[in-house]
Amino acid sequence: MSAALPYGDVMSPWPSVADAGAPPGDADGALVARARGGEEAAFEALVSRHEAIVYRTCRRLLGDPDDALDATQEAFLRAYRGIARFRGDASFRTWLVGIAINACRSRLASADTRRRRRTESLQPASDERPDAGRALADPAPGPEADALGGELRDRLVAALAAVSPEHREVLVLREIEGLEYAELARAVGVAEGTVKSRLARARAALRAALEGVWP
Amino acid sequence: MTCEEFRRRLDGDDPTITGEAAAHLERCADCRRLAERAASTRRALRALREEAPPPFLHARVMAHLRAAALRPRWWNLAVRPAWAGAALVALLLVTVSGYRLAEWLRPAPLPQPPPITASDLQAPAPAGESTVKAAPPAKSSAAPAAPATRHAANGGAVAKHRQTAPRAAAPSAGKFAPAPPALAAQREEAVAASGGAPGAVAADGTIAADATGNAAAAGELRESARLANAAPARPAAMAPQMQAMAATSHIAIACELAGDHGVVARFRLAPGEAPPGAAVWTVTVAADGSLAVRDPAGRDLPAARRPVAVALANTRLAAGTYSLRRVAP
Repeated sequence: MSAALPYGDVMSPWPSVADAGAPPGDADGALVARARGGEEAAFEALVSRHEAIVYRTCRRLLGDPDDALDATQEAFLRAYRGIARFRGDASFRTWLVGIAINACRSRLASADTRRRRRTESLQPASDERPDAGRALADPAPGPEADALGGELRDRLVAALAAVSPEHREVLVLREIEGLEYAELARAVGVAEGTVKSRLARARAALRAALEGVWP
Repeated sequence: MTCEEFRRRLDGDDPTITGEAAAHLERCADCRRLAERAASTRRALRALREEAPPPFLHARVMAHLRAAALRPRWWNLAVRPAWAGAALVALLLVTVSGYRLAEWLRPAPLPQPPPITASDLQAPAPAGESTVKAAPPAKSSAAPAAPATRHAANGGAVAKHRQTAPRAAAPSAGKFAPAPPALAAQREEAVAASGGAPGAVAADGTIAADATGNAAAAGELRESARLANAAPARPAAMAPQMQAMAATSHIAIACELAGDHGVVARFRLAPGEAPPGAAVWTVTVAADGSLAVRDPAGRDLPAARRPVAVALANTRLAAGTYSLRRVAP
């Protein structure tokens, strides 16, 4: 039941471009080797290391927190089952984020998720409220998070949800998660040059979406 | 640098503002505002990264992983709604077709006994006949035996038979299957032996009263016929006679009554009431319906009058003289 997507499959061979922006992958490499050997604790360690970025990406791409949780679970399950196909020429994080993005695309393609997204994601969910969400889930927010008022944050999230999924993907991975272009290109499944031009259009689209609501 | 070029640079992969771009900002307030908004937007976006995922995330992911990884892949396919719906439809089809197949393979149903009618319930079955009734009908051509036997053994049905089929050759019609000849004969002798009427019989052969004390007329053929017709209404009184019938029917003698134009009636009489051997009795029917029975020597046989009258109760006989003899075996 794979949705017809214009982006290619995450399981397709990765372009053999040097993964310049990958995070330190030594620990991941060892864990991946152990997880391939069937060691469940090793895979759980990989989950611990990367669950935050996977969830955040899904959360920003899908909008709905429940959908994001489902997509996160699905992404890790796909990774667990496909880890034998992970060749290691990209970082495990890149590979995993690519799987998560495909999971999100599948969900966005389903009519049900599209309907829920229309009704919920444009209205920030309750856990988006900084006083509620931060007190519970983010005990030590950074200075930037403190500086960002709750109302502005909600406007930003709404503007992010308003741009196209294709633009949202690159904005989330680049502007929020700080992935390098090469890693982003692999995760999204396009060439690096395409990522750069797409990112420029995405920024312009976000700026337009923030017009009148951003100081 | 134009404003358009500055915006492209602002949206590009190097947001640092140096050289020409910085010089443009010095001159252009709009682009300066734009650059400030872009910077604050980037800071705000980066701040979203600081928001921690829900605290239960790890546990949920691992629980899902353990639950799903233990299942075979086909299960995960099967639980998807589309597959589940298709599986449900397939299961339904298999169930229905399996049921049809089982129906098809099942042996032909045994013949059903006729429905119990109200008249069936009016008289208890004689003890002697109950075994016949209880015996399961064979699968072959003997299947209608049970209904016919029940019919013959039942008081109400016997009376009905006397009304509708007085001539022995005609078996009972209706919803019951035609009785085989042997059973028809048995039914006939049952009719004859029982007398069909609930009245007590006096020594002179006249009918005095029925068990309920309601019957009035005695000795008259018409009255006995009326009682016979009314028999189904008095099942309690009939039962003992039916038992007697069952006990004697196997030794009753088949007789026939013949007029000038041939046999007009066949019935059975008890051995002591039938003409002995090849003897031919004379039955004289008067204009008022009364009858007399005489032996070949012309002697009146008052003891034979009653059973013959009862046997002929439902037979319309013209006044005249008839001959009564045993049916040749």
